[in-house]
Amino acid sequence: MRVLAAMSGGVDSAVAAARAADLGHDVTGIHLALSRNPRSYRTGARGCCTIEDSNDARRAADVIGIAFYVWDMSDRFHEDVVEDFMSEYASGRTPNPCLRCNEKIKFAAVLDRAMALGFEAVVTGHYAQLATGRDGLIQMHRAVDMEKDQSYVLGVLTQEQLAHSLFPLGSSRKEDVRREADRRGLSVANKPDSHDICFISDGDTSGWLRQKLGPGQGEIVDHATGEVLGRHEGTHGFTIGQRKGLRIARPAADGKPRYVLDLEPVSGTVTVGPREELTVNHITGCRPRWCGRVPTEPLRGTVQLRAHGEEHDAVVTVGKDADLNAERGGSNRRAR
Amino acid sequence: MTIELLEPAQGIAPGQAAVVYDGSRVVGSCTITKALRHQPVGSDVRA
Repeated sequence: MRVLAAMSGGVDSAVAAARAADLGHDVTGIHLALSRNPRSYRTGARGCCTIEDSNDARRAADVIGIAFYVWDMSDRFHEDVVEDFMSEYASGRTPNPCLRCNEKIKFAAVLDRAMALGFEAVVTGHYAQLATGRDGLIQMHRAVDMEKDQSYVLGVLTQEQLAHSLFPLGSSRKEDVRREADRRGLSVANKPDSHDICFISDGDTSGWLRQKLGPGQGEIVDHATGEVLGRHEGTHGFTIGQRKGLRIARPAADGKPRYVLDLEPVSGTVTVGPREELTVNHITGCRPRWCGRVPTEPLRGTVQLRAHGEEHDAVVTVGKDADLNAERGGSNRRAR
Repeated sequence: MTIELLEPAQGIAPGQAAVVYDGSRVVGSCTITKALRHQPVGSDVRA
């Protein structure tokens, strides 16, 4: 089939594109230009978004022998991912922009455009496995290489999106992918893995947010007594669970370290307390996204709560929220 | 959507995604709105 391989300039997406071509697909490579002001060269281990990365992707496409284009998705990326990231932090929440990008850009805006151009699927270098179940639905499973498993950041994809996705690396180990890249003559074989947030080039999220959102101010308050322990320059400099950088002059009465427990951006209050207060056993969630059927009974399964986080045994119950159906499928897929 | 953790977690922030698995299979996900802290048994009895 005619497929579009999203090529970041890194080793994984290059090998994924090559494998799709080996399988007999008619592959076209695209590099997504996501930054409005791309830097010329990579600094550190960023896996996308520079001109150098775009050139790496182009060279890989040449070696594989496939057509290659650059798609400018920077406006859409800024609107759907970067602005969302800022407004979430401004509201005291801690978003994951990679999930957002997969939901809104790679498997929505890019997939829509690909389908409109007659492609049948998007190929990426994500580590996750797809299989067809006995009910005919596409299932997504964790990758064989648990160190590299990326099913967490793909957990927002619906059946419709999965039906037009190919993840050729899901059954491979990372070291084998690097070896294969080397064997194929892909010069990106030894390029470092990308980490962190691609649009914050120096990795300083707190500094980036301060620059974008402007300085704020507020009080650091003890969770039990309400005593003001210090002042700060904006809640966006804090994350729940944070211990370092609180700059509280006085130690706690029991001498134990204090952690950020809560953030209230409107009042600017940062609540701190002992580690025990961070323990959570009940979670509520909104914006459900289902890969397949919606569980009608409470599901005894596991949940993962952050990228590369551990699994927790859990019972998941879907409420009778009226918006459940509205959230499903492609309702957020705006045509443009 | 509600999630009862049978093994508690630490430092969960609203806005993070909770991804639900059935074995190795991804069932779906949601955005965390509230993470409620564990109340130790009997903590409110002594008052």
